[in-house]
Amino acid sequence: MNLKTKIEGLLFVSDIPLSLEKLEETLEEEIDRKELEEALKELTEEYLSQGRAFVPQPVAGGYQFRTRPEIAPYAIRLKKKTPSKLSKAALETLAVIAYRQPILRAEIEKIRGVEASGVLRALMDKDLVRVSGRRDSLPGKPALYSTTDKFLETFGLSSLKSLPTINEIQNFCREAEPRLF
Amino acid sequence: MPEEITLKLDIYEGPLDLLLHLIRKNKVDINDIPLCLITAQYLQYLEQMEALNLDVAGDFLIMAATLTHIKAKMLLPFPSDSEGEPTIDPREELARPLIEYAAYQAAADNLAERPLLDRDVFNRGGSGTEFVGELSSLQTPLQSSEVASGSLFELMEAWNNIIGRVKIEQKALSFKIETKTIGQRLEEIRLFLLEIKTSHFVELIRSAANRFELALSFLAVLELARTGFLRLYQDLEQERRGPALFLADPGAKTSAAAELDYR
Repeated sequence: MNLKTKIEGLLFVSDIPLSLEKLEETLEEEIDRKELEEALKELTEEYLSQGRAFVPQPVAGGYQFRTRPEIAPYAIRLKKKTPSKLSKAALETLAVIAYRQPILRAEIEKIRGVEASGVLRALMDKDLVRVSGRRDSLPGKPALYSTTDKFLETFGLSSLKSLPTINEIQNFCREAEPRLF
Repeated sequence: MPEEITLKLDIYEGPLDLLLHLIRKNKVDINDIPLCLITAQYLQYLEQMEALNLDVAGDFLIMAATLTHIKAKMLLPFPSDSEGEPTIDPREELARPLIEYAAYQAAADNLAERPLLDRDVFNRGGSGTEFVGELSSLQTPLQSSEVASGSLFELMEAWNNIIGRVKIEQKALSFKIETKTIGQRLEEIRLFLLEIKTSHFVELIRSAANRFELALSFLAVLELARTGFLRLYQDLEQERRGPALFLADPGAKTSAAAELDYR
């Protein structure tokens, strides 16, 4: 059995994104990291070229089989639940935390100009945000907030680095709305 | 008063969101905000909110004061540097946070456009690891004597993890007041564990009717662990820490819990 097939099997079985480290550890053989990456790439191309319903995708520091967007309407019907929607406030707060973490609640509130405790609680309930520490230098040692792995999984991000930088976003917006940026 | 009666009132996320809307609507430059115009429209919106009996949040009022304050400052000459050039435009304290906020709004839009899990893309068996709890299939880590350490935050995270797994059914409104005490819950858990020896925390809270009962069980378990009646195990090998496994400690004083006086 070739390496590609083994990886395919492990990706199918794992219920969380599988990292390259975990793959190496599980395969228990001397495999060059390059070889592993190459096999994953080949596997992905194979799935794509064959027009399969799902494809290995890089998320949260690992790889996971995910369906193509065309499957979504059927999958939603099968699961009989309406996909949870994030409010504008929740998305904005998530964006601020994603780019500025670890960040204090007061800093989030300053950027958005509104109170943030309710939306923070909702994001923590959804496991998209967590308390990652405390600012010891401030009175009351206020909590610092960061995004979670579930955040990366939900938004299909390999890591935080896969997000465009805030400068890139600003430059992009400047072209569309020169008066505003 | 506006000429037409507006029945629909757009809801803005906050004062900055409203200001950005006004700047866009009037097609003005963010670095050269016409304060008279923008302040007037801003206050008009607040009046509309009041007319509709909506609570105007404090944040909106503070911004109204800030706008008026900057407007007043504009009437005074700007401070000049040594060469007599004006240095600071008072409107900068308004423009800077607006530009920053607009960037994060764009970042939020960018996030929303990504293929979202369980909306656009799906993985096998749905998001998140569901609790698959067949007690018989679990290995009791009795051999391991390693003491796991953790912080208060990890405890809080574990707790959030657990209540995320449990679906609390919405029950019909009733006026019966729950009077179960931590002592009663503690005794229930103690008897339960004496009988079945090992259990997952999730098993203990399966019948919980509300958050209060969840919290009660959680505290009772911590107390039982503290007094040495039970031991807590957790599979640290797992990439994501699974729910803790509880074990009635055979060597423990079974009376320990009973000695505690909780009311």
